[in-house]
Amino acid sequence: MTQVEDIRDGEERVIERPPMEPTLWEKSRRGTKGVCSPGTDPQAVAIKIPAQLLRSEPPSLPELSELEVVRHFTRLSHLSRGVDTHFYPLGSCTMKYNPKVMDRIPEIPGFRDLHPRMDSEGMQGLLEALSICEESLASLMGMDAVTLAPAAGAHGELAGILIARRYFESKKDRTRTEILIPDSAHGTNPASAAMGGVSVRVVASGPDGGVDLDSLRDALSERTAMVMMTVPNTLGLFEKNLKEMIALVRSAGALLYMDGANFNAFMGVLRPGDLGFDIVHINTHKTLATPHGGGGPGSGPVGVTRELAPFLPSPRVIKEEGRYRLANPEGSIGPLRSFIGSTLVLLRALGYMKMLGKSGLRDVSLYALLNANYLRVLLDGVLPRKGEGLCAHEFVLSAKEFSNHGLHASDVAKEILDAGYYAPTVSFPLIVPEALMVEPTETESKETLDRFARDFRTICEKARRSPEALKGAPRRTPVSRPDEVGAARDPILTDPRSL
Amino acid sequence: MASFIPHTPEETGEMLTRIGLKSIEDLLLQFPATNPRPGAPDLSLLGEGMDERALLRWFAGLAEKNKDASRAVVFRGAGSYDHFIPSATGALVSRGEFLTSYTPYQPEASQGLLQAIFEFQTAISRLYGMDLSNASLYDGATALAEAVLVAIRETGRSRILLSEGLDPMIREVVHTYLEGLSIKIDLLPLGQGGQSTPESLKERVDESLACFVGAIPTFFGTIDDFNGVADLLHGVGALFLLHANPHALALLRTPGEWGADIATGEGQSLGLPLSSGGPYLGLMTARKKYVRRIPGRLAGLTKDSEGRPCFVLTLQAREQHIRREKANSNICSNETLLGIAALVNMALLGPGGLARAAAGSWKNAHELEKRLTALPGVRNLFPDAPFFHEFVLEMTPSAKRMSQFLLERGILGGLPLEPILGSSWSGRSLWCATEVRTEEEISQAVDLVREFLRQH
Repeated sequence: MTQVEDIRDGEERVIERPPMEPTLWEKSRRGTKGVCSPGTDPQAVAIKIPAQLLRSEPPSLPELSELEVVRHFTRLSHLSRGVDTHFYPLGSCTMKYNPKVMDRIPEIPGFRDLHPRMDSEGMQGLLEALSICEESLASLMGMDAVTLAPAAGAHGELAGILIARRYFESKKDRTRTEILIPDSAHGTNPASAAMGGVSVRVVASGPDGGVDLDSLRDALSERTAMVMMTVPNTLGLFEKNLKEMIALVRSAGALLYMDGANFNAFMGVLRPGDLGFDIVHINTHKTLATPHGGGGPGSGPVGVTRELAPFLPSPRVIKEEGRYRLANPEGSIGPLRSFIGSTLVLLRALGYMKMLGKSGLRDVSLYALLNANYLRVLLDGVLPRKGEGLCAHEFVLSAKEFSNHGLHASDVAKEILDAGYYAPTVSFPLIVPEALMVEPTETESKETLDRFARDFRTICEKARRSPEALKGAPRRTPVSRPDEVGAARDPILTDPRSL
Repeated sequence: MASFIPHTPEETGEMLTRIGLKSIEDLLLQFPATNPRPGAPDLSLLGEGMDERALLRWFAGLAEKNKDASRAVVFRGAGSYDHFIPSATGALVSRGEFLTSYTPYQPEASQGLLQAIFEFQTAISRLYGMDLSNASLYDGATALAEAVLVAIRETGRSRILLSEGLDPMIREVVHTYLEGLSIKIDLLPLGQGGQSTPESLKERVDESLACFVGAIPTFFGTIDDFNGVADLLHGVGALFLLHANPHALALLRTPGEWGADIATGEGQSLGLPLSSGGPYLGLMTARKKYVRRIPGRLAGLTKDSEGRPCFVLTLQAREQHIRREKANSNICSNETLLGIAALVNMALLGPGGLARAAAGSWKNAHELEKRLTALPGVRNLFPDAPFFHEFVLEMTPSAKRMSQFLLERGILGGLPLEPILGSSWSGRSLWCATEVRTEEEISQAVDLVREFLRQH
């Protein structure tokens, strides 16, 4: 084990970093038998296949026993943090508790082992569940129709953009090829617009971080197809002028898209459809508590108004005389991915909606607001916050004052890791210098928030007192800071031992 | 009902006092008042909630109406395959440190996850015979669509050529992705023999072409021969893309050996359940020269400030959170956890186990084909083409009716091709047998097809 000096709290003591785990290829020993797979001797088959169609040598994959594999991945898990192990105040990502009962739903053989090309009479239960999932989401969003196809939020955005294109094409309006996006938006918004073949025009925020009404008015034109807005915005603020903005966009003849990444702030309280949005995506891996799996799978259902429903991606679940089937409607933008959707993720989300019900879901948002505002008040005066008054489900602090000491928000984040938490989101949104975006979620206790606030305050005091110490953080994690520049200069993306 | 909120009423009161509010409802003052939009579904559709037992019972009731693999033996593939999955896999990937973590933006607190991604990239690269792999995309279809976008950007050209051997569903997804970009999509027909021919390819390759995409094996199960294709394409500055089933690559010639520039695939066949169609696992591999062009997360090996080897997300300047509308793709969330599941499977089976499984699929499918085509009036549509674990069966009676007949008797038979490919395919169905099918199951399927033919 490596020993390093720990100089937290000004006291010097020695702590040990946990050992790293060798890679599978380092551990591999030729000839080791793992799990026995059903099958047959490959040599006997290979002689029956034309030689030019065969691979010349077996792939260089590791050879380990089952126990060695189990220990390897168990040890790797010990070198990572999840919501199950640590408070995860990662703003914009809604890292709430993922209820364990939902883990059992994708294990039900009737869903887990169902072939997606099953004849429709053999998948009535699945189609019924998905249909209920669509209805539940539609009522939560206040939209008329929902597609479950998008595999993630960004995929939902792409769907929304393609739907908007189709809509204006259907009206023979070929001038509307521009999408307006606030400068505080998630990076996926402009990237999705570019993939959908429309141009992006950025709308500046005002001094309070909200969309500037005059900038919006100036940017809107007969070329505007759609305006994409995040509600509440990425500062965790509900736009003060939202109703005026919506009216402006409407009168300009453009569609309104809501990026629902922050839906945890107002689920069951306020509905995007009632506000006047035409297209809305939500992220089930945020708001509806499906686990994020280290980067995915997610799911990004999209709700639309009646007018836009004909353009939703295919296939659609259709209910006729009590029976369900899949159909590919004429006007659809086409399939966005293989099969119906990330069904096992969607069933978890459905389970969450079913279990909590109307009032439980509303409570989720109330307590998400409570926790965020409580933590905001506890951190009042520790670092300046962007925005005033109540926040929604998250808030953004600026660590800019530390730049005088050569410190960045990311240095504060590393020290937070050492204090036993995952870190807040850093350097986003882009409109706040040295941003630290904090989202506690409703599932954290007051005690956790009290402790985090106390530690956060201590860390900021330390940054003022001995900034150098933060540059050495983190000290309690398996490794210290990686050389990211070196990693990108000459990328090593596969294990050299496998060659 | 449960909301997984830990607060006691006293704590809630203290917190509100600290914020300076009287009631928790006061937190809603920041939101505007709205009226329900006319015609929008009512919020009460969401119901009053239920407890764990009731919830699981409700789902079990729905699941009972589905004919999963335990109620209908799977002889159907077409992009989703019934394979052996070791028990250790589920136990490992359901660990909370993997399951409940986010994209590893903080490498020091995510080394295990990053190492798993790095090992996944390594395993997939070696399986495909390619230099590198990303951390995953949504599924095979979107992975291919993204690869086509790379080729279009790389060449600056606006025509692509897709093999008819690609799953029609995947071709349609490519169409959807290219919808807004004014790209001409041409099709390379499979010849009468079920394989593409060099002549028909040559006719369609010129300097306007961004890329050609072939399939290993084809949607119809046949194994295409891509000899000379890489040279032909590179000669006109076009890219060679291959979409390959990773299960088959334990035996078959790899995209790397064929000279492909980018290769994609559907990772479901690496030991993910059929999953009612998702979530699946998009694979993308490439030659090193395209490393800055490809979309998605990449985990790289580097050293920490104290010289220890460690892992980090790298080349993030390609990605949406940095480059915004100039990014290589909009992808953010991907399928990392499923990639780890595939990695665990590969590690448990090893190269020998994977080859054994692939050989088992080949053998079972060929046994099935031999016995079905021995039935009167039944033939393999492409009798002379080598095939892997799928084949097209042709007969006079409607394949749809046969499918129904078999399903009622506990067999998910070959996929009727008429709904996908049109009325001339009415008597044709796409059959599959993987390594998990037993001799008894194969006999049962053959007997039932014989029975169906006798009645129709």
